[in-house]
Amino acid sequence: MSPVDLLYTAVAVALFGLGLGALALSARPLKKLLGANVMGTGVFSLLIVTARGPDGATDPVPHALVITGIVVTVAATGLGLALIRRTRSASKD
Amino acid sequence: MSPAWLPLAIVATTLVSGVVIFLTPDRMVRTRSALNLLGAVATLGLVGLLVLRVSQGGSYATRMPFLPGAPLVLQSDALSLLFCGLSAVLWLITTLYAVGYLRHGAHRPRFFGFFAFCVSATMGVALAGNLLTFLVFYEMLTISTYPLVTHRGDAASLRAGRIYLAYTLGGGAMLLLGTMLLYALHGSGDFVVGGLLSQAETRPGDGALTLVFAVLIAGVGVKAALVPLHGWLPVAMVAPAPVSALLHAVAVVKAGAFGIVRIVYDLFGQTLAETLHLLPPLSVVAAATILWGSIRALGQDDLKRRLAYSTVSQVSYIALGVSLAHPVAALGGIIHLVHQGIMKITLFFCAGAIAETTGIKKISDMDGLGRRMPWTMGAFTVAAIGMIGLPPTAGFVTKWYVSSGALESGQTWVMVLMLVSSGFNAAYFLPIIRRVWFADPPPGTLLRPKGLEASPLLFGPPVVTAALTVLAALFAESQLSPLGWAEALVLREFGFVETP
Amino acid sequence: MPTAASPDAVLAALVVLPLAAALGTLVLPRLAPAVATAASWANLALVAFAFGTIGGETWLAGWSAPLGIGLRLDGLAWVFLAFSAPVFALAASAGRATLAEDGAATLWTTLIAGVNAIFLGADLFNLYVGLEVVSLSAAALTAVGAGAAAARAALRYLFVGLGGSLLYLMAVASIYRATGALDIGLVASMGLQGPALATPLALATAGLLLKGGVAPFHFWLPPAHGNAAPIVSAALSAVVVKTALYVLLRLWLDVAPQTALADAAPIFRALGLLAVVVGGVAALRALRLKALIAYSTVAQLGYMALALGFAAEAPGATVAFVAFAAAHALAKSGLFVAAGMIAKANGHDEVPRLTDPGTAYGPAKAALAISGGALAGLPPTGGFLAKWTLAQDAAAAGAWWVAPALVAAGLLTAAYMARLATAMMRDPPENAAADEGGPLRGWSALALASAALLLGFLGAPLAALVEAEP
Repeated sequence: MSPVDLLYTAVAVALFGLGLGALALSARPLKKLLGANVMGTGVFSLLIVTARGPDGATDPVPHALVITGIVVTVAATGLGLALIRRTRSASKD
Repeated sequence: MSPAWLPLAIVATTLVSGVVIFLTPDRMVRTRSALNLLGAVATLGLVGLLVLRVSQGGSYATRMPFLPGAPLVLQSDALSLLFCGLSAVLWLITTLYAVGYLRHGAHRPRFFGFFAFCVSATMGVALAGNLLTFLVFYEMLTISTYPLVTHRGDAASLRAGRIYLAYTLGGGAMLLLGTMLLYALHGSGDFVVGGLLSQAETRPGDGALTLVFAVLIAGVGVKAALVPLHGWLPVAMVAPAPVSALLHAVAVVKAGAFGIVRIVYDLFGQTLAETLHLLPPLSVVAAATILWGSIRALGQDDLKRRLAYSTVSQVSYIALGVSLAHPVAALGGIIHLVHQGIMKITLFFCAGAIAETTGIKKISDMDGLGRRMPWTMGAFTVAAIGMIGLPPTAGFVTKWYVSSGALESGQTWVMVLMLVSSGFNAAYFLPIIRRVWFADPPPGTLLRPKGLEASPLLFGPPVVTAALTVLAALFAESQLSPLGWAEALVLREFGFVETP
Repeated sequence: MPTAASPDAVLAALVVLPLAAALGTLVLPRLAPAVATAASWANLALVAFAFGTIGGETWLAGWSAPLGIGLRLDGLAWVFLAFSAPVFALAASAGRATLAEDGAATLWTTLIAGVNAIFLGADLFNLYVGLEVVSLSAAALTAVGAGAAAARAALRYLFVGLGGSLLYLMAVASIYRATGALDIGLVASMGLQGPALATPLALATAGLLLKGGVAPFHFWLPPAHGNAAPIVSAALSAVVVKTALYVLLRLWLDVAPQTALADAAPIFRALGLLAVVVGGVAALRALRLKALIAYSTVAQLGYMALALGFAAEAPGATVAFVAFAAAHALAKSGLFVAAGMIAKANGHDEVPRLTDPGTAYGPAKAALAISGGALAGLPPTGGFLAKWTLAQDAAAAGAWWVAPALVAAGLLTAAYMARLATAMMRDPPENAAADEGGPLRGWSALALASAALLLGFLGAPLAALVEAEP
């Protein structure tokens, strides 16, 4: 792996770790949700790095995976926000 | 119907009766009673048919696939028919009694439904052809007796139910463990005449087998009320009298004792049991139970509790007979399955009749009761004499055989134990008889009514079973008696029987 | 297996039909509950029909690997489908009121689609998608119709689900980096070993144990299962947690080499025992009925982990794993539905104060009794089959402690089920409510419980299906 790839990989793993930490350890729901998003970004970045083939050609499969993953994450974030709103309104009653 | 299906049909009839009773709407009381009795009569008929066919030389086994490599088997050997017959006859009689007893009670569909399930489970236990089948029906018996113990729904009943479940599920767990170990070690747990393990070409190691024996006996020992696993029996007396009568004097404790007989003779076998020295500890436990039950019975003023401790003591005669390694003693033990059943059920019927008719539950209140309820107390007296072991009752036959067998095999201590036990029995039954017939009732109470002393459904059954107690003794020599059956059984197990 | 019907249509329909139904619920909002119920029953029929196509596979729209969606049906997958479908069908029939809530019907049908996609999934990434679809639907359903506690539990459940899925996805990415393949069979043939195998396995296992609610990652389960509507709890306990464990099984059995599973076995056994003890003790002390049942799920999942811990040494342990999953699914769903009815009749669900709801609830009480027995492992139920199989196989492999452990665990289960039995024998106060839910709910519960009982006799066919070579 080239040094650039190594850097990208390291950043991706770091993002994953930070996101996981935020998801697991934060007390505030919104922070947890953002943590999950950061985790996702980490995984997607890792996949994109994988897409770079040895001779410069790009493997389309990881791109497809990432696109799917982004869609899923968007849906999950939407649900998360809706649930956060519901818990806030429910606790106000 | 093809006879090969008879064992299954017997279990199925009782099971279906239960389901039908549950499905009958609440208000259709007479229909439900009729269906119930129909079921009991049908079952008796099927059992009679099976007995007839087997006495003509047939033998029937039904196999059903269940677990991989371990089927469910129902079969009809002499021992199973003994227990089956007892249960079928007594179910019919008890159903009549229960209809009378619960005339004003609530939750009758639930009661009779679970009652039928209990009988079904007892039939399954009796007809089981291997340890796994025995286990399935043994657990079913636990589950279906629980709603009957807690029938009244009050705090005392619920508490008793919890204790009952703790003991019986614990015993069931031990039985399950033993079954799992045996099947893992040996691959099967078939009940074979002469002992599966005695006759096996290869068998597990002695240490493993001893452990399995101990675990299995502990498992069935709970229901058989072996000390110190007997605690549930007196507590379960809060149940209505029909429950105490059929289930706790007959079905449940007999299922446990029956299990002991099966494990010693048909699973391990006489020869292996002697080789591994498994029987002396069993004798000791049985003897301790006989004594402890009697001692505790002396101290009880509540009639049903005294009878409960008497049951604890008496059922161990079966275990004792089986553990003495002598055919005549074994005969006595096995026949006591039937004899103790009919005697004890009589006593419990009477106790229930007394409580329902006069409200009396304590022995100290029973002065002069003989004048008020002569038939009931007559039946009680006959059964009590049987318990003490005087002729011409079934109880005498049992004690005679167990003692003879013990003497012949040189175990004189058993003879002494029998005498001491009879002494205890006399000590806790004779005072009751004396009070009932010879004491004066408190003034103004217990006046003889015009007409019947109680509902015929309440005093009829005990009279019938008391008569059976005497008949069983008088006709003991005949082929048709329970003794004749048991002799055939012991003959095959030991290869010979010398009748004194 | 003879393929009388074309596998393409049936397998595709198993995923497409529920999705179409989901669209239907959006297009016809007033008919939404009916559409969802009809789709659940149609799903059951499809699964029954799919029995004839075991061994088949299909690629949706003809797009093959690595970009296509492949669906593969072997015996193991069919068994999981076969016990999930009745749960969905009978629970849907029992819970029309819940399905009428805003969005519930849509989520229910999407959940079915996701579950089927997981059981049929042939490659690791599509399993991720399936897991996420299931997670999102399940988390949203947890909040449907119920109050503040349920909303908070749903949110926690969502976070757990997301975390687990992303851990799993990281593992998939890692595998792709190492092998360039995603198809399960293909990856298995690549022969990963060392850190390239251990890292993804560890990540994926952590994520899946979290999603599956296996102790000590079970903290989210009791609030979620305990606060949701009865039929949702039924679906969650019976099916949703099983999807995560199914993927775990596939991963360790089909993707990883046998040596890996043998190395990891002590961990699974330890986790299993932990779950059994923690769940059992908590259930014994639970004050609320649904909490009791939810903790019971925690305990029962432990059995599955324990079985997985023996799958390397004894092939029969896999059968035990599946039997535990199936028996629990059927018994637990029946229990949740019956418990929901009984709590409603009582007006509360505090276990010490529960009473007999009356003779109109006969089927529900019978369901309670049978389910309780199945969960405690009483013969002749499916729970007993599972315990027996595991004990025998573990003993054959030399682990004699498993039999006593399972027996003791069964006693513990019986102890807290007995609390419910006691409650049913307690007479109600004078003004007892009549059955408002109609007879269908009680009979649905009883049907599920009876299926758990019937399973006890199906050991041989089950083993044949699970152990057959794909």
